[in-house]
Amino acid sequence: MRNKLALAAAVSVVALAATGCSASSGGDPKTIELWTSWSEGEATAKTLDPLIQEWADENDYTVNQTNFTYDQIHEKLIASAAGGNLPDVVWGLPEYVGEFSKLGILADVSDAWADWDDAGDVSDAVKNAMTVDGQVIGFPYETTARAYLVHDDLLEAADVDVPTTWDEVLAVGPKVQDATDSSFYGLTGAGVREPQELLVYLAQQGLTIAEEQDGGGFANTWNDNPDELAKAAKVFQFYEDLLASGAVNENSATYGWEDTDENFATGLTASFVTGNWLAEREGTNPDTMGDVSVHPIPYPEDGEPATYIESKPIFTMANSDSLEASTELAQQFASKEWQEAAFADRSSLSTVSTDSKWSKDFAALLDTGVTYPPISLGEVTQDMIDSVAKVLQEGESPEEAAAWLSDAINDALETSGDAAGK
Amino acid sequence: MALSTTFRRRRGNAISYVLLGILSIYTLFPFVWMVISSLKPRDEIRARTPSFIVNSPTLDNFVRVLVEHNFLEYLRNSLIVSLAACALSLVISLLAGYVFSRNYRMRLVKGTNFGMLVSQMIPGVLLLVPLYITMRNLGLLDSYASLILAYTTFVIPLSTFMLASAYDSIPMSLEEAAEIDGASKLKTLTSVVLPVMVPSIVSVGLYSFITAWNEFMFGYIFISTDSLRTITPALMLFKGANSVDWGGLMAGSVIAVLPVAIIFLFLQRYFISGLMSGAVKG
Amino acid sequence: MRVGTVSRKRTNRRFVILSLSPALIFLVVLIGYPLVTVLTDAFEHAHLVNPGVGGFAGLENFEKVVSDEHFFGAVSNTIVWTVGSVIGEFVVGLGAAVLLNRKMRGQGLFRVATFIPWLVPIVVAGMTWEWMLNPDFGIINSMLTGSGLVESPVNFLGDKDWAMATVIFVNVWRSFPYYTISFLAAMQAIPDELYEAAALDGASAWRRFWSVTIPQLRSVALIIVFIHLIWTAVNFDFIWVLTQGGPNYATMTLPILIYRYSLQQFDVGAASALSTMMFLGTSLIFVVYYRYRRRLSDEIVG
Repeated sequence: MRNKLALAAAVSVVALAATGCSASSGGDPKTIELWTSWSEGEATAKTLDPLIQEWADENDYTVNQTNFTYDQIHEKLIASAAGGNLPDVVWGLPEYVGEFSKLGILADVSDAWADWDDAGDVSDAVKNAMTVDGQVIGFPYETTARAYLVHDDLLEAADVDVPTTWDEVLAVGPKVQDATDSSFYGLTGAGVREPQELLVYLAQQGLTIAEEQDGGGFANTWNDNPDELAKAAKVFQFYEDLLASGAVNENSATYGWEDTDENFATGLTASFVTGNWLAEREGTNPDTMGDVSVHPIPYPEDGEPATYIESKPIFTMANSDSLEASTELAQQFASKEWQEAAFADRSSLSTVSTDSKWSKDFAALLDTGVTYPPISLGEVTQDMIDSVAKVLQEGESPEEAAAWLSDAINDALETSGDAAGK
Repeated sequence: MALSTTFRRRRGNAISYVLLGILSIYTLFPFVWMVISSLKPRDEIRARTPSFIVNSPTLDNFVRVLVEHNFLEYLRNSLIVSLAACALSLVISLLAGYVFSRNYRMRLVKGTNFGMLVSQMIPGVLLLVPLYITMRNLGLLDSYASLILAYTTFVIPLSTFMLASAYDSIPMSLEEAAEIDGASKLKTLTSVVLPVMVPSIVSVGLYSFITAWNEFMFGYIFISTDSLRTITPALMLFKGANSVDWGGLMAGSVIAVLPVAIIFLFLQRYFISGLMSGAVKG
Repeated sequence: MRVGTVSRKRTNRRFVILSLSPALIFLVVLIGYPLVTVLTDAFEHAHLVNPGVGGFAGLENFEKVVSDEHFFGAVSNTIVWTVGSVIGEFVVGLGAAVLLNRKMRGQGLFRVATFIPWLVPIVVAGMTWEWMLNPDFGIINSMLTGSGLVESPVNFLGDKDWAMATVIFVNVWRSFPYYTISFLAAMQAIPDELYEAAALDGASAWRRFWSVTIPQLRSVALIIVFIHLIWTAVNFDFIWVLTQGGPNYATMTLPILIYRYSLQQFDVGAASALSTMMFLGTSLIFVVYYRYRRRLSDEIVG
C-alpha cells in the first residue's frame, strides 16, 4: 500500500515537472536569446539591464538575457552547435574567435561594421582581433590592455626605480626581495593568463606565434629561421632567469591568474603585469593597494615595447532567425552610449574613457598592443603553457623549449585546419 | 573478569569520542572555513594572513546572495529536480534490484547487470553532445524533465546494485511464506520485503538525491534560462572572468549545503539497529 | 502439479521482464546512443561539432593516443589515483561506520558531521580546498608554519611531488561518507543474536567485529569498492576543479586526456578510442566483480 502511494506520487511529480516547466523560445523571430557573462549585481550588470530593456521596447522585441561564466558559454556553444540549438547573441572571448569561426556558427557582420558610425574610433588591432579570412565576426564590447603595476611604497623601501627593461627587472629583483620580504616581479606559469604573457614577451622580441602565409593558412616559422629561433630562445631565457635570480616567487611556475592577482593585491609581490580589473582590489585590500602606479611593460633592450590587448567580441550566430535585429543588438554593446554607461574604463572606442589611472594609463598602451592570430587556440595555448613548464619545471634549455614550441604549434595548426597549404 | 563491563563500555565510549572528534575535524574543517569566510566583509576575506577570527562579522554576503542572485529560486529548482530524480530512480531500482538478487541466473538479468556497469564507464565529457542531441530530439531542452531524466539514468545502476545487495541479506524464507499464502510476487515484495529494507532504501535514496543535487555540468548545458537554473551551476557564477566573489561563493555554498544537511539529520535515525532483527526472528 | 509449476515459471518470467523494463528503457534511450557513438567513433575520423569530417580510420586513433607523450604518464597516474582513493575511502569509510554504529549520545550530530563533505558541491569543495592549501594564503599552511611543524609553506597542489597525494586526500574526504552510509545501513541487517552468540563464546569486541560484522558486509563492500574503482578511474571533474591535470601533468589522468582531445582539439575519434581502451580496462574490473558476486549470491540464495 505504502509503495503504491509512493509510486503514484513519483509518477505525478515527474509528470508535473515535465509538462509544467519548459521555457525555450522555440525559434520565435521576435525573441532574441542573449547570453552574457557579467558579474551579477555589479555596476556593469546594473547599467546594462535597463539599456537592454529599452532597446527591446523600442524595437518591439523580447530579449531573454541569461548570465553564465565564460567556460560555461564555451561548452554550451559547442553542445548547441552540435545540437542545432544556438542562441542569438553571445558574449565571447578573443580565444574563441578562431575556433568558433571555423565551426561556421558566427555571422559575418562586416556590412554592419561598414555602416557603423563609431567604427572609426576602433583601432585596427582591435578590429583585426575579430576578423577571420577578411570577415568581421564580432563587435568589441570590452577592450583592455595589460600594464605593469607597481607598489610604489615597496620599491621605495628597497630604494630602486621602476625598471623599464628585462635586464633591469633581473637586477632589481633580489634587492627588493631582501629589503621588503616581498618578491619583486609576478609571473604566471599556468592557466589562461600564461599564454597571454608569453605572447607579449615574444612580441617584444618581434615574434608572433603563427603568421599568415602567402596563399592562406598560418605557420610558425621559428625552426626555419635561426634568427627567429634565437630570439625565441631569449624569451625562454628570460623566464629561466626570472626564476633563477629570485626576481619572482619560487612557486611561480604553477601560479595562475588567481594567484598572481592575489599576490599583488596583498603586497606579496611588488609589481606585475595585469589588467585594470585590479581596480576593485582597492576596495578589498585598502591597506596594500593604496600605492599603485601604472607603467608600460618592461621590454628587452634590443626589442620593442608591447602589451596584450584583450578585445572581447560579442558574437551574432549565423543562423539566428532574427539575424538583423540580433546584429543590431550586438552592435549596441559596442556603441558609444552603452560603452560610456557600462564599460567606461575598458572601452574599445578611443573616445570613451574615464579619468582614473585605471582607464587612462592603461589605454595609453593600446597602440603597442598585440592580439592572438585568428586561429584555433585550444591546443596552441596548451602548448605555450607546456613550453614554459619545460623551462621552469623540467629543466630543459631555452633553445630546446623554443624549438619544441615551434613544432608543437605547427602540429596544432595541422590538426585544427589552420595550417598553410590546406 | 579483570575489567567490569561498565568500565569497558565507558573506555570504549571514550576512545570512540576521541576518534569521532578527530574524524569530525577532518570532515568539518573546510565547512567551518566556508562558514567563517561567508561572514567576513569584503576587506577581510582576502587578507594576507588567513585567520579564523572574523573582526566584523556581517550577514551582507547572505543577503546579497539571496536577494540579488535569486538563490531561493535556484534552491527550489534543485529541490524539485533532485526529489523527482530520487523518487523515480528508487521505484525503478527497487524493482530491478529485486530481480537482480533473486533471479541472477537469468540471462536477461545478467545482461542488464552488464549493461548497467558499462553505462558507468562512459566519461561524462563524451556524454555531453550525444545527450544534448537526445534531449533536443525529445524536445526536453531547457526543462526540468531533461535534468530529471538524465540524473535518474546516472543513478539507476548503483542504486540497483546497492538494493540488490540489501535484498541479498534478506533470507528467502519471508517470501516463501508469503507465496504459500497465495500472495503475488508484487504483493510479496511490497508488503513483506520492503518494510525490512528501510535503512537501505533511505541510504540509496539519499545517494540519488545528493548526486542529483550536486551535479553541475548537465545542469548548465541543458538549462539556458535563469528561472530554471539549479543551485550548483549557479554557484559557479561567483567565479568571474577576472575575479572571484569569495564572500558570495561561501555564502551561497552554505545555503546550498544546509537544506540537505537538515534532511539528512532528520533521516539518519533510520539507521537505527534493531529494525531488522525483529523481522528475522519472526 | 506440472501445470502449476509451468504457469508459476511464466508468471515469474513475466515479473522479471516487467521489473527490469523501466531500468532498461532509461538505459537504452539515454545511454545507448552515446555508447554506440563512442564505440563507432573510436574507429572513425570524427569532429565534435562538424559532421563534415568523417571516414573510416581503422586503428589510427588508437595509434595517436598511445603515441601521445602524456599517455603512459596518464595511465600510471590513473592507476595511482584510483587505487589510492578507493583504499583511503574504504578504510576511512569503514572506520567511520563502525564508530557511528555505536549507540552513544550525540550520535546524530556526529553522523551529520561525517556526511558534510559529501553534501558540499564539488565545485565549491575544490575551490575551498585550493584556497586552504595555497602556500601563500592558505589557512592550512598558515597553521603548519605557525605551529612550527614545517619550516616553509608546502605547495600542496603546485609541487609535483605533493600534488597527487593531495588530490587523493581531498578525494577521500569527499567520497568516504558514501561508504559509511552504505556500511551503516548494512550493519543494521546483522541480527543481534549473532553478536550475542559470539559474546557468549567469549569473543572480545575486536574479535566480534572480525568474525561477525565483516563477513556480513561483504556483499555491500564488494559493490561499493568495484563501482568506486570504475567511477574514480573515469572521474574527470574532481581533478579538473583542483589542478586541471597539473602541475605540468603530475595529476593528469586518462579522463582529462579525453577531455582535452574532445573539447580542446575537437578530436572525438581520439577521445572515443581512449575511452574504448578504458572500457577494456574497467571491464576487467567488472569480470572480477562478477565472479565474486556470483559466489556470494550462491551462498545466500542457495
